[in-house]
Amino acid sequence: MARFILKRIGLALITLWILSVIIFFAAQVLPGDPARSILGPLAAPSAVHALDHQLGTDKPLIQQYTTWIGHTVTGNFGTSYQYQAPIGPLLGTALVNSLKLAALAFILVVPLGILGGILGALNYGKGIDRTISVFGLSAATISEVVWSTVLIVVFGIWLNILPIQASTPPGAGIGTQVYHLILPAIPLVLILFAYIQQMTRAGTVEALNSDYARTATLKGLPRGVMIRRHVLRNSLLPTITVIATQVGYLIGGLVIVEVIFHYNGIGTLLYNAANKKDIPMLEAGVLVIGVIYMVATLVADLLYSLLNPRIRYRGVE
Amino acid sequence: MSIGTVPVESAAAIGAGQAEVRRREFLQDLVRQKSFYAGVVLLGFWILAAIFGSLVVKDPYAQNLLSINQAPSGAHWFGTDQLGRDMFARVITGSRDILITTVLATLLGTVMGTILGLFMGYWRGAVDDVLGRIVEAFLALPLVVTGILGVVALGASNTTLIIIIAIVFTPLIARTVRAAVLVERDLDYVAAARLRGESSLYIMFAEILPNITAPIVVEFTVRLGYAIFTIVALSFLGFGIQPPSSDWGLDISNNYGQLGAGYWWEVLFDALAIATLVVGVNMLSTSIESALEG
Repeated sequence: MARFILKRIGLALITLWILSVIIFFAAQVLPGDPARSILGPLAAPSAVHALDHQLGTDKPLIQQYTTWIGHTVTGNFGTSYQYQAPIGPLLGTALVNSLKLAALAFILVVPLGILGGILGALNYGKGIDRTISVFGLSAATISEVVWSTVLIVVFGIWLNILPIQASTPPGAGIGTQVYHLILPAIPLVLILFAYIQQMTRAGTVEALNSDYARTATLKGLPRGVMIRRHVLRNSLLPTITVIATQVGYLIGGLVIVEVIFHYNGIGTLLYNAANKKDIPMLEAGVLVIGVIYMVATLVADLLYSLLNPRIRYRGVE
Repeated sequence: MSIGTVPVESAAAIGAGQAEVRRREFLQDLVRQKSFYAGVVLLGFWILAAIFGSLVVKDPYAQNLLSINQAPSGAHWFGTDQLGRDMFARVITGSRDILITTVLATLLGTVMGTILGLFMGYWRGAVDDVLGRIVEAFLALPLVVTGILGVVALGASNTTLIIIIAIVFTPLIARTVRAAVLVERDLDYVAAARLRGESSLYIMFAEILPNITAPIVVEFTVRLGYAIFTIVALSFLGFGIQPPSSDWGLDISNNYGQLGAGYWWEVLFDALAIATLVVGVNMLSTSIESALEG
């Protein structure tokens, strides 16, 4: 088991290193002279040189990369070009805000997805199963841009029952915050629902068709008890893994939803950094997203192997 | 006729016959599905709109500052935007840029992914391992975030959009192609080609490739949906298709700030247009997928 965990962590670290090279290359090497893009095309060459020297962007690329990655690993993300302030606290605030929105979306989508999956499996192939599947899969493929727009028009403008700005004044109570986050959370729920629902459905169908489920039925257990004690305990296992792997989709969705609902999270932070050519901020934000995704996948893998004895023992071998 | 040539000829004949039967079965399966027709109708409508739309509707770029932010009416079916441009004309002509970039990006990604996948699957070894790690690294970022990074690196334009999406699709498609190649490379016809002394390139592209077209076609059609998804998102953020195009995502981006004032028609019809295009493409890809597998 320990070897399995170490191997997974090792592979994750290699992947992260490759990711950091990609980010560095895309954000710092390809766009050309950072000082020139900050100061604009009319700035004097001497001023550009001076700023390049100050930013360290006149040094050799390898040195720039090692400096950047060295600082980043020790938690020093550098200074934001646009705010002239350390990136760490800015990033922290944005992450906490995004976490609130993501948490609300998960609180809504996980029970809904599991419920929808079980409903689909118990009515396998019937009208209700097909309806849930078609609805879920269509909802997932239609862009968050579309969902957000439609939701704002219907609930924010025509019915006028929900606020269309996600941000609340500082010091607002948790009730107000949740109230403002309901509308932005729904597009995320719609995007995430299908996958969780389909995995639960597949797991439940498999468990229902298993020998132990048949034995339980044949020995005379009531259907409700059989489903609760024998089927769901096995079928929900893959769902746990799936929920963690959805973090990537979630962050992709956050970028759009936060911008459209004016919410100060990691998505808006990336959007502003890209618009203002705030390279250190962009690099830090993208790298953090990569780390979050890798950690979530790792946790999902470990959780799955811990909960599933078949994999746990194979890991030992 | 010598005895030796008989099996060779008949084998070839059987092979050709089988391909013909397979093709007919595929088409029969395809036309049996309702979702195929729904997909054709929806996608067909937007393709026609992209080609002929500008001949039918008003000028989507004509500004009229005397009738800005007008609600839908007989004169302007979908209302007007903040520059007094006719929203109906903009929605109808808005399919052009997104369709062109979607198809080009997916096509480029499929070609590059197929080539990469053939090499990874046929040669395996270190090349496969290294490329596999790079694929993992790319997959750690959501498409939209990779897109933002790419736009910062290359600048926003339709070409950038096509390149970025193609680059992200390449490893994904390569993975599917690689898996298909791994199955094929141990079959007898590949061994036979190797014994005949054919080059690796010939075996990859002339022997294996024709036998793995089904998964590649499925990948292509499925990726079309993802490409639209990404282009809409990036255009909405202002990093995709650029003004003054009447692109839907771009129009939503320009007009959603006006929603507080109640001008819903400036974004809602664009959103519905995106939804119909996405649903159409998905219905088409689902029906092709199940016909190929069925």
